[in-house]
Amino acid sequence: MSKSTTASATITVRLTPEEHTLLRRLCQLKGISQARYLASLAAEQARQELTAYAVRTYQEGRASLSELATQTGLDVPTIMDAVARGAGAEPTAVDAFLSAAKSLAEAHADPGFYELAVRAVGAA
Amino acid sequence: MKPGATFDSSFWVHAVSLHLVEQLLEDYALVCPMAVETELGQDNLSAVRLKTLCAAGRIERATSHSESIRLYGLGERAAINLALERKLLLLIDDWRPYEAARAAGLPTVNTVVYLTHLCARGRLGVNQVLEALGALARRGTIKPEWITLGITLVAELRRQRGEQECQR
Repeated sequence: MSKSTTASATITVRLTPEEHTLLRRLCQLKGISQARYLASLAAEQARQELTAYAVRTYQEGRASLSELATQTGLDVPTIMDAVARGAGAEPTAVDAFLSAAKSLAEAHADPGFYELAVRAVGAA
Repeated sequence: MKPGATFDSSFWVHAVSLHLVEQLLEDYALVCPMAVETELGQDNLSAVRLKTLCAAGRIERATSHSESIRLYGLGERAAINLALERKLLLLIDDWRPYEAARAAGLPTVNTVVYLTHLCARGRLGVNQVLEALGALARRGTIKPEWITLGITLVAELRRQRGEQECQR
């Protein structure tokens, strides 16, 4: 029967006395070790930066979702959810959707179609 | 006998979020590349749904033996190669590999085309398809031009068949 093990990596970080004082005080207040604090901070920051990189690269059309999953190690649903959160602030696709629906409603003399589209996109 | 189809991660995520999985299972014998399953991760809704269906034998897991296409990410590459090897329909939403697959001569379908197909067959109403297209527009994870094309097709269906016939 095999025994699975997870090896931890060790890295050394050099801090100035001022930086170390800040870190030590914060960790005392939070009641956690300095190593534990730095590890969690670095991991979370790296995850956020990888996600931001994936979203930006995808939105610029420079890589596919699958390529980005391969590059960053993030899973595709995580990248797609992050793109979706970013898309809320970038209404281009929704504008294009409504614009197309309006054009078609006018072309077909079918105002109800545009109303359906507005309701569908949640813009009513 | 149902035609066989394989899919990439983006198509599967959209299918789960738009509640299209049961229709897909009715229409196709689905084959999932192992790399796509890996790419979907572990604990999210899309991954759990896929693992459950694979475990129940409703979706077949497979790996291609050849690598005709070497571009793009691991999941997309696996899906394209599996489709080429086993002559499967490729369900794919990422437009760059979509175009590469088409250039390789593969029959390809994206979510927008599948939605309009369901509407044309009377299996989804205009309202439902527009809601799905609106959701895709809000997500920003599919080529906007495809969504515009989808709206055009749905409008034409509505014009041809009349609101009552297509709308549920």
